[in-house]
Amino acid sequence: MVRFQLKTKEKKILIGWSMILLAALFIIVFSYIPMVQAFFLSLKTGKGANLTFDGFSNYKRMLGDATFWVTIKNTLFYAIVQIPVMLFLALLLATFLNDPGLKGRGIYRTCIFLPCVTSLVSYAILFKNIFAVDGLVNNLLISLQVIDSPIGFVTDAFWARVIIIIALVWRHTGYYMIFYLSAMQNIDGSIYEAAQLDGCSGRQQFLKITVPMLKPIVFLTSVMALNSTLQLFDEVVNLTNGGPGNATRTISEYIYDLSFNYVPSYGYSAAISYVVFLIVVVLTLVQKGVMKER
Amino acid sequence: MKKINYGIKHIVLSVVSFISIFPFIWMLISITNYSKDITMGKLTFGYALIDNVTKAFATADIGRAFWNSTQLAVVITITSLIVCSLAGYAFVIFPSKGKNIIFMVLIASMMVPFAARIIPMFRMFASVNLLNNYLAIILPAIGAPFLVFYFKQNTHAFPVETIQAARVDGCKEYQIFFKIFMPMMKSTYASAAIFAFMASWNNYMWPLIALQSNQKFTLPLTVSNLAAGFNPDYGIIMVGIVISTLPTVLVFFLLQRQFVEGVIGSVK
Amino acid sequence: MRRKSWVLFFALVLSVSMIAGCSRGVEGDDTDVTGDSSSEQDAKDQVQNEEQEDAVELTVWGWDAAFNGLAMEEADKLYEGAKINFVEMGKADCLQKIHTTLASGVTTDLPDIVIISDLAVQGYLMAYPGAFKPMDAVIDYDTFAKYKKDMLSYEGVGYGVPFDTGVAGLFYRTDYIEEAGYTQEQMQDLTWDEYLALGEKLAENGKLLQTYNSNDISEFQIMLQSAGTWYTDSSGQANFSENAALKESIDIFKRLNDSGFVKIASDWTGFTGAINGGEVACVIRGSWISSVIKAGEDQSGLWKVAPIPRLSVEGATNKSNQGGSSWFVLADSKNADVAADFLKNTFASSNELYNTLLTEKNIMGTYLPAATVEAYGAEDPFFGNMKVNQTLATWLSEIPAVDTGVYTAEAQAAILAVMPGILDGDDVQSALEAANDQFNQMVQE
Repeated sequence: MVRFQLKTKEKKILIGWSMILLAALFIIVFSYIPMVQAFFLSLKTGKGANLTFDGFSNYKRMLGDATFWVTIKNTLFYAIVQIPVMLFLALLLATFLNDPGLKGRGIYRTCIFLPCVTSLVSYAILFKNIFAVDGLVNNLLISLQVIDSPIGFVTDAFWARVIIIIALVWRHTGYYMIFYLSAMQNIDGSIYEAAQLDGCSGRQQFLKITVPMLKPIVFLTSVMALNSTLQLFDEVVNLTNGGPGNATRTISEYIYDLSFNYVPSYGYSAAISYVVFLIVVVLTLVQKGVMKER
Repeated sequence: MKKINYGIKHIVLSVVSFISIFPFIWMLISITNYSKDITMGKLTFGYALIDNVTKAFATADIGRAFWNSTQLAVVITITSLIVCSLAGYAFVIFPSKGKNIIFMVLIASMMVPFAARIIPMFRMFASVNLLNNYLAIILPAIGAPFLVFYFKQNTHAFPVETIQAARVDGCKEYQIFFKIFMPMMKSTYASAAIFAFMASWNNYMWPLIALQSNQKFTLPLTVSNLAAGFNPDYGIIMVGIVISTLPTVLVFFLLQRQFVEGVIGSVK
Repeated sequence: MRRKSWVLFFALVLSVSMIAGCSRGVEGDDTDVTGDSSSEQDAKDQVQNEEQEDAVELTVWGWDAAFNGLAMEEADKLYEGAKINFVEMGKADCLQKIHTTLASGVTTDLPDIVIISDLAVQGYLMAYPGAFKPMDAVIDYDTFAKYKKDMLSYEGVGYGVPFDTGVAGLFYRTDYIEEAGYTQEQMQDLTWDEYLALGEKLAENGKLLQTYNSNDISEFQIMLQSAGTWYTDSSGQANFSENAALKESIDIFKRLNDSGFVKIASDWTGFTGAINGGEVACVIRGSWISSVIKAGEDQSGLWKVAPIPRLSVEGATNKSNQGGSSWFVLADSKNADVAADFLKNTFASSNELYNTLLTEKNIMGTYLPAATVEAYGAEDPFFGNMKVNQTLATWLSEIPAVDTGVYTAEAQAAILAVMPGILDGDDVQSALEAANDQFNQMVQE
C-alpha cells in the first residue's frame, strides 16, 4: 500500500517537472545564456571590437555619467506617473465592459483595444501633428482662450514628458484592459449570484469578490507594465527623440545610442543593461511585498 | 438610477473609444490621399487609394512579407501557447520550493533589455548556421516568460477540486491538462493567443538582425523600409501600415467572442 | 477538440513547409522568388553563364532602394561577372545591422558591399579594425573630390569608394524673395547677417524664412564645415569652447529661435510639409534636398539655388557639405576581391554611370572626371532653367576638407544636451564647457 502511494507521489513530481521542462529549456538556452555572455561583455571596455577585460570599471563609469542619471530619472518618472494612471483606467474600463447589460460592448472593446495594434509609426506622425505648434490641440486651446500663445509641446521639457505619458496611456490601456476583462470572465458567475442572495450590493460584490480574485492578475499587469515602461524605447524615439536636449531620454534609448549611434561601447551598454535589470528586479520584489501585505 | 449609471458608463466609454480610434481613422483617411496631402494634414478622403496600393505593391514585396509574418506568427503563437500554458499550469498545480525558484529565474529573464542579448544571440545562431532561417526567430520566441507568468496567474483561479475529482476518476495528469484545463480556460487561451500573436507580429529588432535577405523579411521590416527613404511616400507607407495592422485586428475580432463566455451574472 | 486538432495540423504543415523552405534558403538558392523576376534572372544568368564561367552574386546592404539601390542597379548593368543582390533596410536599421554583424566577429554570411553614411565612417573604421578592405591599391582617390578622401581614410589608409555628395546649397523661392524686394543677384554669397535680414523682410509680407527645429542641430554641420572647422579637432578632442565658428553657429541658431520668421517643424514630416506647402522661402541643406523640393510639382520654375551664407569668422566660405555616403567592401566576405573590382570599374571609373545617375535620379557623385558629362550641362526647368548640376559640381570641388573624426555623433549629442539651456538664456561659454565634460564622458573607453 505504502509502496503504491510513493510511486504515485514520485510520478506526480516527475510529471510536474516534465511540464515545465520545455519552457524552462527554451528560456534558459535563448535568454539566460546570452544574458550571462552579456554580463561578461559588461566587464570589458573599449570601442567597437577592441574590447579588453577591465573588471567593474564600466559600472564605476556609470556613477559619474550625467546622461545616465538623467535617463534614470526620466524613466522612473514615466513609471511612477504612467503605470498607476494606466492600470486604474484599464481596470475601470474592464469593469464597465464586464456588464452584460451594457449595449455595444463588443464595439467599445474593439475601439479601446485598437491603439495597441495601431502602428507606432503612424500614430507618432499623427501625435506630432496634433501637438504641433499649429496643430489641433494648440488651436483648440487658443480658441477656447485657455492660453494666448501656442505651447511648444515637443520642444518644452515639461510638456514633452506629458506627451510621452499621454501616448503611453493611450496606447497600452486597452492591452491591460483585456487582461482584466479576461480574468473577470474567469470568475464563476455563481459566486456573484450567491452573494446577491446574501444581500451584497454591487459595490460590495466588486470590492469583496472581484478585486481579491483579480489580485494575481493585477500583480501580473503591474510587473509587466513596470518592466515595459522601464525599458521604454519606441515611443520616446519616435515622438521626441529624447528631446528637448535629454529631457525625455530613457535608459533604453541611451543604451541604444551607446551601441549603435555613437562609436560603440558594447561593454558599457551591457553594463547599463544589467543595472536596468537590477532596478526592475528590485522594484518587482518591492511590488510583490506590497501585494502580499494587502 | 440604473439608467443614469448606464448613461455615465456610455459617455465615458464613448469618449475613450473615440480618442482610441481617432488615429486609426486618420490612418484610413490617409491611405486615400497622396503623400503631399498627408504631410500637410489633410483630414478628408481623397482619390489616391488605388494609386497608393498599386505603388506600394510595386515598391516593396508586401505580399510576401505579409505571408512571412503570418507563418511566423501562427507557428509561434500555437507552440508558445502550448509550451507556456503547460509550464504555468504546472507551477500552480505541482508547487514546490524548487519550482518557485525556477519560476523567479524564468521571469527575471524578461527584465533584461533585449539590446544586451542581441550580439550573443547573433553569435549563437551563426555558429549553428541558422542565420537567415526562420528557426532563429521561432526558437527564442517559444519560451515566453510573460506567457508563462500569465498562465500561472490565471491558473490560480482554476478550481483545484475539479482536478482532484478527475484524478479520482482515474485521469492521467496530461489528460487532465488537455481535456479539462484547456477547454475550461478558453478565455485565457484566447487572450493569450492575442498577446502572443501581437508580440510575434510586431517583433522588430531580432528579425532585423537575424534575417539577411529581403525575401525573408517580415512585414514590420518591409514597411519600415518604405518609411525610411529620405523622400518617403506617405501614401504608400499608409498602405503598408494598414496592411500590417489588419491581421491583429482580425485575430482580436475573431477571438473576442471568447471573452463573452462565462457571463458573470447580474452584478447589480 | 476537433477544432484544436485542425489548428495543430495546420501549424504542423506550416512549420514543416517553412523549415523546408528555409533549408533551401540556407543553401543559397533563390528558388522561391516571385515568378517573373526569377525567370528573367535565370535568363540573364544563362546569358552571363555562356559568356563567363561564374557570375558571382554580390550582396549589398543598403537603404533607399530608389536611390542607392538604383545606383547599384545601374552599376550592375555596366559590369559583367557579377550580379548585385541589393538587400534594402531602413537607414538606421542598416547601420545597426552592420554594427551587430561586425561586433559579433562572425565571418560567415557577410555581405560583400555595404553603404555607410560618411559621417559614421570613421567610427566604423576605428571600431572594427581589419573589417573593411583597404582600397588604396584598387582605386585612385585623387580622382575624387578632396573632402571625400579625408572622410574615408583612417590612419592613412583609404577604405571606401566615394558615392554621393551632399554639397550644400541655399535653395530659395524666387517669387517670395522678389516680393520682399530682393533680386537673385543679391542672393549670391550672402553672409548670415544678410540672410537673417532677409527673414525680417519676408516676415513683413507674411512669409517665413525657413523651417526650424530647436532639437536638431544638423545645420551646424554645414556651418562648421563651411569655415573649415568641426566639432572635434584632429586628435579627437572636443573643439567647443574655443571654437569661434561653433559659437557663431549657436548665436545664429538662437536668433532663428527668437525670431518670428521661422516655421517650427519638429520632425521630417513637418519639414517636408512646410516646403511642399509653400510656407517657407528658403531651405539650406545638402543637394539631396532637391528631390524633396521637387515633390511640390506646383512650385516648378519658382526655385533657384545660391551658395550658402558664410560665417564671419576667419576662413569662412560659402561652400559646404551635408551628408553623403560611400561604398565599403567587407574584407572577410566571400567575394571581396570581385566586389572591389566591381566598384573600381563602376563608381571609380565610369563617367557613363554618373551621367545616368544624374539624369535619372539627380544623384550627384564626387568623381571629378565625370563633371564633364552632358547631364551636368542640363538646364533644369524646375529651377527656372538654371544649370543646377553644373553649379553644384563647381562648388563640390571647393568644399573645405575637414577631418570629421570619429566622434561626431557624441559631439552633437553633447551640444544638443545643453542647447535648451542656451536657448533659454544660459551663458554660452559655460554651457559649452559643460558640453565638453559630457563629451569626454561619452568618448571614454
